[in-house]
Amino acid sequence: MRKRILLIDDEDLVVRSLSRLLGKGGYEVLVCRSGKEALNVVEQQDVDLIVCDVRMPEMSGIETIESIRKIYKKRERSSVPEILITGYADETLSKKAEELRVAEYIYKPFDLKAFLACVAKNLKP
Amino acid sequence: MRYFAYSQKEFVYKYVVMLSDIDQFKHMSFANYLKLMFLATDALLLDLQQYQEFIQSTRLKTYYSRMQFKNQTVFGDNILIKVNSSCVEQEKFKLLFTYVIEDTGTLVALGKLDMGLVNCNSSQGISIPSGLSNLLRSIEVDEANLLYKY
Amino acid sequence: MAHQVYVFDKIKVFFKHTDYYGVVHPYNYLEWMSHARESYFQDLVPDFHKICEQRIKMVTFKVDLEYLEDARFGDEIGIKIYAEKVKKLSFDVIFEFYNSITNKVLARGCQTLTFLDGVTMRPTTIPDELKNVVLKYEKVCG
Repeated sequence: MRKRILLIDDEDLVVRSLSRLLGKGGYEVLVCRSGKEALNVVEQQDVDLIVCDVRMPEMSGIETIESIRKIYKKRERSSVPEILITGYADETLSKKAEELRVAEYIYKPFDLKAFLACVAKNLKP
Repeated sequence: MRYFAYSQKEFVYKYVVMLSDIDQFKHMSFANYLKLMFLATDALLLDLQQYQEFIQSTRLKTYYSRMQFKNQTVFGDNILIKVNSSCVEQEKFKLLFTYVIEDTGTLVALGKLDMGLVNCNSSQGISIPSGLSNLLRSIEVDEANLLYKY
Repeated sequence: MAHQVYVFDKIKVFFKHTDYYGVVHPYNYLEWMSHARESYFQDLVPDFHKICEQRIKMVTFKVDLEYLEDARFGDEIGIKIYAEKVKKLSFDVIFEFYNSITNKVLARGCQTLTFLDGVTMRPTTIPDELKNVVLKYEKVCG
């Protein structure tokens, strides 16, 4: 069965590029354009990995991940690896990501092959 | 905790959009983006040791440029221009530019320059000196595999 | 049928255009492209200014420039302009910079222009007033 990846990003270019890449990589991709949309999806469906942009309007990537974890905790579901991607992060954001202990924290523009390898590495059982 | 921060190999040039950059449509006029590419390139070269010596005898020549515009910027926006290199050869190299609004992370533009070095007097192509080559390699990426298409 | 070519020949190279080495700095070509493009539209499209202020916005999506020969202080530069790939939502404007005295080609540029609905910010069709003019200047390739 194909692993399911939740992709959360408001940037069209990134969504198109990563959806295509992950789809070709054999993954099922669920796309959300905002943190709020992602929370609705996570309430209803299981995913195996989350890729989330840090800077999004209304609800940041950090806030989104924190909220998703609360949902998992409430439903007693085991957490899944989270990969944060960002165009630029100042020191404050970098520290927050570190405190959150996400699986990976990647700066754009990143190498697509390396990104795919990173996803595969974090999806290992 | 060690992170896979692959693309931290970059040079960043910061710019604040000024009122004088704005046209009547309240956005930074697109010609300024190309100017910023060259400003960022100059800033990158300032990192070279013996920079003054370098520019006395060597001219950085531009063969080709490309700009792609993704979003507008307005007065007061803090823009980050991230510079990477690609296809670094003996006499030529490319520079890739990713323009991002610092506060929101919004992608604004993508730029590319194909450059080479020529002798100031003869205009003949010359090999990239080791100082510049090392600088370029420190920010080198594989353009064919990047998230954005420059 | 041969396409029409618009000529913008009002550029003189001044000191402010030159760089450390006495050569025209590449970014000047983009400025000149802007001037030439606006001149092209203003001269040929009736009420171009009104069109710009209406709901449909003309957006520069991409700019390519190939730098072939150096230009220096005192040179006089002309630009030949025509269109290519005129589609429903976009077209390319081609610029050929040449030395007015020697006719040497200095640079070639291409701007891809698209049109957005100013309210929804979604792509929209090229206004007819503009398209009718551009089609006369379209070089059909192949």
